[in-house]
Amino acid sequence: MSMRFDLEQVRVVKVAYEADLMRKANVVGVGIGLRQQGGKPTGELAIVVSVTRKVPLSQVAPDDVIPRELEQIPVDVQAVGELRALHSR
Amino acid sequence: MITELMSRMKRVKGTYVYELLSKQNVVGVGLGYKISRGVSTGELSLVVSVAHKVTPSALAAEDLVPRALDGIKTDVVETGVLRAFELGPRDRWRPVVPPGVTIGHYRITAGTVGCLVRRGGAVFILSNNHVLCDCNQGQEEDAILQPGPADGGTTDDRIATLADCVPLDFGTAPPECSIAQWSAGLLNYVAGAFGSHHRLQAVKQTEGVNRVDAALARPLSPDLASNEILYIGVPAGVGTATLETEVQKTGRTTGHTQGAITQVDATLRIDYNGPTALFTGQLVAGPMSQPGDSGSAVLDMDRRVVGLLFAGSNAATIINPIDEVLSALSVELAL
Repeated sequence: MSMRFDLEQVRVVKVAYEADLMRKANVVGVGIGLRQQGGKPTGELAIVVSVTRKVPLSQVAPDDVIPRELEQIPVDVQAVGELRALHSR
Repeated sequence: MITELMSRMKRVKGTYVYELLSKQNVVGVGLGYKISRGVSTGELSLVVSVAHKVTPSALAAEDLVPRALDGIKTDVVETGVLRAFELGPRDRWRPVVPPGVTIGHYRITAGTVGCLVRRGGAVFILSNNHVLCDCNQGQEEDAILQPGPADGGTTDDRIATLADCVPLDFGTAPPECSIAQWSAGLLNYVAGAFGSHHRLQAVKQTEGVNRVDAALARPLSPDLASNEILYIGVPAGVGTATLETEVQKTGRTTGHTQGAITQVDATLRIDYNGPTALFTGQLVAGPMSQPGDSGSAVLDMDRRVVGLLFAGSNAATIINPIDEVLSALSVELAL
């Protein structure tokens, strides 16, 4: 599990693509984190795309598909649900 | 049979309860099954709770608990000193309000007191705009209640007034939850004064970008608010969180919880009960919050404040980095 890219390298690519990613269906966030596998961090830096829910690829319009990597940097899609301001309901 | 015995025991208890409570160490009297060597004997007895058991020789004769009273056996049980339930994060706190407990602008539900900050000689309570400033709609001097309205706070519970607020930019969203509402009102007033009949529209064409959801309240008196965060303590200073930093907070709804930072430099779209606001440069942690925890200070495990909690879901917690919050409000942490 080598860290192939450092934080700055990931940041440059993230900034270049985040506006495109934020326009895709279900996407609510783009950040920098550790790629997860089976719910555990792998130690590898990734662009983390937060989605309200994961949808089978067959049900996603081509424009809304999230690439598996961007300029060789892994893209990790994580389901977070609805992100809301946390005042009491 | 049992009911007959119970009513007889209640009579005996009624006869002796105050005499028993006047004895040294006795903190309670009740009815229950006698316990012998940790096991219930099934025999009803008068249970006398004591702060601590002592040998009979160490007690004055009048402080001894008789083995039986009017034919009913007694059972002396050690319970320690009984205390009133301690106040929790949703309670009314007086005379001093600690960070980590319920608070809110009088028109909202409830959020959390974050921490104390200082500007010059003045000390303020830090929390979110949507907790203290009603999503931009609060006016300076508005009442801030502790507990927040959702926890029963009323005008009698005013502890502070709204002092300052970083406006939230909702971009093209309808302006009910936006500063644009009253700033456009002001501009219209100015336009009217100059004879213009044009009315300014409080609508912007671009999606706004936010860095923080933050506001300040001025305590009614300086000693009304403490900087000792409930269940955590006094902050050790300001810190910076990065990936995998372990963090903690005390909040109105979930109390003291821990988590770890899972994302840095995150751009996120946050739902404010309808309108959404875009945030950049945020920290993301795992699930460690629920509605009502907004405004909690987030600290690392060395008690350095690293952020201000403001949003989340069942899977994630969203945090403004504290340096952004402090500089947006031109304040420093009060230590």
